[in-house]
Amino acid sequence: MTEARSNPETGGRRSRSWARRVVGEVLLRWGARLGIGWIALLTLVAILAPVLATSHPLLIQTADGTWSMPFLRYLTAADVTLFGLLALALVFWRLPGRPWRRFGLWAVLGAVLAVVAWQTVSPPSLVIHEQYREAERMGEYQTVIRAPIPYSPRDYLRDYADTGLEAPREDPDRVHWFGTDDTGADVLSRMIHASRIALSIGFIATGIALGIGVILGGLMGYFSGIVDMIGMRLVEIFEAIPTLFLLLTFVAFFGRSLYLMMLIIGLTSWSGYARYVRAEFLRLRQQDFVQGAIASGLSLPSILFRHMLPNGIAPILVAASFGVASAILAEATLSFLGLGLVDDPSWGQMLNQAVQSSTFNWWMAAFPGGAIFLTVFAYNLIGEALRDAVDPHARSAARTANRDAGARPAAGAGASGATSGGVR
Amino acid sequence: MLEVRNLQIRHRDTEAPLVEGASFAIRGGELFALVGESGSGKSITALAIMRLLDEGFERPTGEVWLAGREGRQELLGLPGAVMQRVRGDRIGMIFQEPMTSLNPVLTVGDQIEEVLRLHRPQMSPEQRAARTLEVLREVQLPNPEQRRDEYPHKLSGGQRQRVMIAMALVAEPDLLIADEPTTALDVTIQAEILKLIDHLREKNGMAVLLITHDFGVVASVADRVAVMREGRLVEQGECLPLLRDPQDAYTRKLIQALPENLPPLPPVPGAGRDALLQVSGLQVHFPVLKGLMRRQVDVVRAVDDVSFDLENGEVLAVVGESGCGKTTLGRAILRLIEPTGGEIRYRGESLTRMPRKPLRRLRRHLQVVFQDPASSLNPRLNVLTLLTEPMAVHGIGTDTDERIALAGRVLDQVALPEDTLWRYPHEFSGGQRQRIAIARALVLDPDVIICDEVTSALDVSVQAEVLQILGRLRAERRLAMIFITHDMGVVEYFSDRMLVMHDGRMEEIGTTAEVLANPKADYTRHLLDAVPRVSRYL
Repeated sequence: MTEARSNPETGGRRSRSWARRVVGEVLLRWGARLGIGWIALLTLVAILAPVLATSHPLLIQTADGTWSMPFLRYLTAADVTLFGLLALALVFWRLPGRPWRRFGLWAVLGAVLAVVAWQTVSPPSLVIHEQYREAERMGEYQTVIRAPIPYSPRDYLRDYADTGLEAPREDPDRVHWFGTDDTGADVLSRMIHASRIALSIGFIATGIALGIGVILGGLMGYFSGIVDMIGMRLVEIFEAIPTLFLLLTFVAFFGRSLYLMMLIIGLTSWSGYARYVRAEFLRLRQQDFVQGAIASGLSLPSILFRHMLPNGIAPILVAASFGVASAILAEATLSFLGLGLVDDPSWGQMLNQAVQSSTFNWWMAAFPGGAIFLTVFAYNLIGEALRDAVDPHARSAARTANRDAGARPAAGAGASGATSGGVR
Repeated sequence: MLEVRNLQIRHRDTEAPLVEGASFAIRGGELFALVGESGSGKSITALAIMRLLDEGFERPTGEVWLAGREGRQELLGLPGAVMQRVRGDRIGMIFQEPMTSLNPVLTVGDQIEEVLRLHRPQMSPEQRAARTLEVLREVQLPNPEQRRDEYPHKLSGGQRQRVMIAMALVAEPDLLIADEPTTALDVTIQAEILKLIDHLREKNGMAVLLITHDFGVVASVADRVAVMREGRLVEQGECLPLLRDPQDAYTRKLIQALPENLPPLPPVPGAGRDALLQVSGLQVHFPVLKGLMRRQVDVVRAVDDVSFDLENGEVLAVVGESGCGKTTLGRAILRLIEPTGGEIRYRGESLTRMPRKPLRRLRRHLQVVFQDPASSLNPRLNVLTLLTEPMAVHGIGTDTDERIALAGRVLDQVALPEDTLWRYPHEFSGGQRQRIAIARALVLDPDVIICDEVTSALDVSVQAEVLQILGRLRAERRLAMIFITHDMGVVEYFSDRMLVMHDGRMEEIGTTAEVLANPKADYTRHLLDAVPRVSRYL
């Protein structure tokens, strides 16, 4: 008995949970690895955008020998929060403890940080990008360390030349890896900053849709009957709304706002998730283990959230990863139509600029277009792999199961040996 | 007629061959049975003969010779197009699941005629229609003229299996391969289908390869038998001598695992002292709703007026064919389905109209084990959580350590090692999972366990283990059980009393020995006659 009670965390016998198996299955596929790698890279780039692409030097030493970091003054509250979250995540990654508890603590600290940042941080509203370059030319600094892409997204070349357009690496004095647009802003810098919008609209819009869909779908599936009837009619109503036209209308009435866009995409795309969850719950209710849980006298929350939801979540996650991709596309479409954000660059808006430009400049279309394509493709790859991983009939899943069974012959043989001994 | 020599089948993903060195021969007009437990390779052998193995398999080696009206042919080496003419024309095949082996969008007649269009292109449409009708009549489908133009969903399981047989027989094959043709059917229908196959074999003089796991079926129809274990034929020979006096240790073990050959159960001390459960006039009616306004037009009487008492330590078997309401009865007693009428009393307390809260407390005394071990355990939780969560809800054990100790002890009682606690359900075999399900019922220390077909999904040797564990637990804990099953062998071995149900109604109740010896109701007699029993033929 003591052996069985001995710490399960350290015992090699403890087997992998379902979630870990699915993650393992997903990571077996090279497509998913590429997809996850690209999204991870993009996330990192998006968070670190103000360090990677800014006109303000990262570090300077003035003639009198004092050091300073000018780019810090121009950070927004959002930048500070994101940096803080990244730092906290790195710390918590190493910290021992239960994953959920660590995640909770991380989220709470992140929220506190966000509130503090929004209260205290106020970057100057007037930004003169040329200021430090000017000073450098005048030889005011002893040392200057610049960002890898030393141009802010809104660092237009007004103070530099009349014609803005430059092909990639045209001018050896001012290297623009991906060229510049009509206004002379660096395309790569704009793309890096735009990746924030692409990622956040995908995650938040899908998060809203997922939250509404799971709750409504779960209620419909578990209670069925009249709740289901009303819920399904609601789903049908929302499915009849064309998201894009609603967005156009709202933009026309309430102006352009990223948050409004997220909200509308989220509010109109939950119906698919609700259908999935409902179908899963209807099926799971009839399963023997749910009936067994009821027969054991377990409480309703436990039945719903411990026994039913984890079993029904898989197809929803698959749908969600495709949903993120389509939300990104919706934003890109809107921006392309010229109804996106005015000030902040987004990939769709950059495509729009490429089209509006008087001459066709391939770098203005190819790079943002490629980024949209790669990101949507990455989410689709992840979704595809997730679907295969949770599908028990998928071929590769069976192959892994075989390998697992082969790797553990000793345990299986021991168990069956003990049992036949007990019966004889 | 068919000769298989040294057949060897490998799957690309596994190292060991799935079938190794199988050799057997079937004479014309003979019924040859291939017996074995699940996973022994018997179905794969049949598929290899038909050359229907999917791409995951390597090309089988060995020889398969088919003799017949077109001479002797080696099937494994035939080109694909020629093999296609052999299938359906010279070898017919029927599968286990009649519900899914017919195409739902084509009529029965169309599907049979298609076989003729392929294999008898010289026939005129009139001849084809006539032949279809004839073969439907041959398989004794009622109203063949009308059935021919109907879609499969209108037919019952037994009728669909008849259509499948008609389809296999329409081209008058030399060999019929029947892969578990009656496993999904009720015993009375099973008896009819077996009789039909036997009759057609005699009439057409074809050979039959019957694949089954059921020794009763083997004993009742087979001429010769081969026993398969892990891809090898361990023994073959004439049917009855082999069953009477098996030479191989594995065959002996299988035959000894049949319920009628198991050692008697330990007696239950102090059984029958007090009445635990009284069920009187229990009714479960499901409304049939129709139309836009969902008006109730009729009721389905799933359980109608069932009454019985259950005393402690007693096993009451509930017997009946599928759809007779025995599962609904079990669930209604637990109030997993709300009964519409009648009364259930547990130790004098009425459960029928008890509010949810006190009912949840009472649930620990009435537990349930389900048929399908694959779906009765939550795949996302490990065994420890599955066992300790109900304990925590009912306040058994003061802290986690004590509950883990209790769970370990219960696992020991169902003969599972303690490291089971840290594993997940998918890592266990069907029999092991069923024992975990029993352990989950036991941790709450119940008085009554409702066992809903607990052994139906298990192989016969595993069934024997589970039955003996249940018997021992019953003696140790004075458990009362309601044992829902359709297997008469299990009923005879395991139960004290039996209740026979038919169409939701109680046909008969009495001590098991008495009901089996002289059944009073006609239906019971009919049911008992249909059960193939090995002992009857030896």
